Parts: sequence; C-alpha cells; structure tokens
Amino acid sequence: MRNDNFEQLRAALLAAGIAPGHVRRTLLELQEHFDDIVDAAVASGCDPDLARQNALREIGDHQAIVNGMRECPELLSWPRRFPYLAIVVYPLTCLAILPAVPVLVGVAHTPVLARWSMSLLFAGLVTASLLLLMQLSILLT
Amino acid sequence: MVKSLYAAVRNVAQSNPPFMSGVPELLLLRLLDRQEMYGYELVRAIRSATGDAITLGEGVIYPVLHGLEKNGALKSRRKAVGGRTRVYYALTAKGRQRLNKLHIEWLRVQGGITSALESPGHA
Repeated sequence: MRNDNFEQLRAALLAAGIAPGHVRRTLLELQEHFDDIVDAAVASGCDPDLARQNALREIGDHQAIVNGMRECPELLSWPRRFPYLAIVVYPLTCLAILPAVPVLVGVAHTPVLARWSMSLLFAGLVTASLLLLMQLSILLT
Repeated sequence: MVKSLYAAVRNVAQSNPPFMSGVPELLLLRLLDRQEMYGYELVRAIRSATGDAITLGEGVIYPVLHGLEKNGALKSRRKAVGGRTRVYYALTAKGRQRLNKLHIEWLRVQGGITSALESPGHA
C-alpha cells in the first residue's frame, strides 16, 4: 500500500514537470518521514496498521505536495523551465550535430573500425586472387 | 498616471509579501541556524517551537527545503542512521544573510500590524 502510494506520487510529480533528481530525493525523504511517523506511533503503543494509515494521512494529499513543488521554478525540469529552448533550440542543435555523429562514432571506435577495415581488405584480396586464378585457368585451358 | 499607479502597486507588492508566504522559510532557516536537522525533525521542531500554532505539512516543507538548497541558502548531506538514509540540512553563509533579511522584514510587518491593532481608532 505504501509503495503504491509513493509510486502514484512519483508519477504525479514527474507529470507535473518536476526534475527527476528532485522527484527521487523527495520520495526518499518522504519515505523516511513516513517510517519515522510510523515508528513514533508504534513506540507510543499504537497498532502498526493504524499507525501506517495515520502516517499516510499525515504525509498528506499528493496534490498538495505536487503543488508545493510546482511553485518552486528551480525544482522543475529544464524543458518545463525553458520550453522554447526544448522545442526550438534543442531539436535544431540535434539536427546540426546529426551529420557529425558517424565521424564521432568512428573516432570513438577507431580500433574496431581498423579491424573491420583490415578484414574487409583481406577478404577482398582473397576473392580477387581466386577470381584471377579462375580466369587464368580458363585462359590456359 | 497609469505608470505611477503601476509603480505604486509594484512597490506595495514588493514590500508586503503575502502574509504567510515567507513564514515556512523563516522558521526553517531559524531552526537550521541552531543545528542541522532532517525533514521529520524539522516538522516536529516547528510544532514544538510554535506551541502547535504552526504545523507545516510535508507538502510545504520539502519543496521549501529543496528550493532553499538550490538557491544556496542551505546545504545538505546524506547520513546513514540505524539503517536509514537521512538527508540533513544545514545553513550556509548565504542562508544566514537571508535569515537576517527575513527576520528584519518580519519584525517590520509585525510592528506595523501590532501598532495598527493597538491604535485607539481601530480598537
């Protein structure tokens, strides 16, 4: 029940545009907070199930937490904070970088590319030699 | 005329923030000025320090703490205590400046309200 509750909160926070790092941190803190409330209630003689229910009530409505987070612009993910950047600049930058990707990948994987090139060259030479031998055998017979 | 009215409204809005809007921030900074604390401890400390007059919900406290940390007023560290990971918050020099500023602002507003309430014309 508790995990379901926090999973719903995680989904609600992410849907509200809160940065994933802050969502993880908030959930970690809220889960610890929940456990502290339960422990304190159980220590004072409360039934564990009742303590969990009370703790969930005390942690409060998801919407209040989402609203609180949304009111702090610095906690929002960057596409929510700078929508024009995400919609215009980011795709254009990606398009500009796209042609350079094969070159960059090649530079990053130079040894693999060198091995493949050598293998292809060797296979080509073997094939050409065989074809030449066949041609010579036809010519000589 | 419109320009001066706009300037006056903007001035009022800047010098008189909504009545309770800065209270959680002020209380959190004040408590963290004494010692580092984690969220649950802070909620309990606020209740105790204000005699249950102010109860900050978790929906308020964590966004404020994270916002203050993002602005450099607080710093946090994770500490494992009894198999649990607690996030402890502490005040920075910038946070102390912010606390002093908010404290002065609060005393100014409080003084204004007290004098208005105690003024014979409005009693």
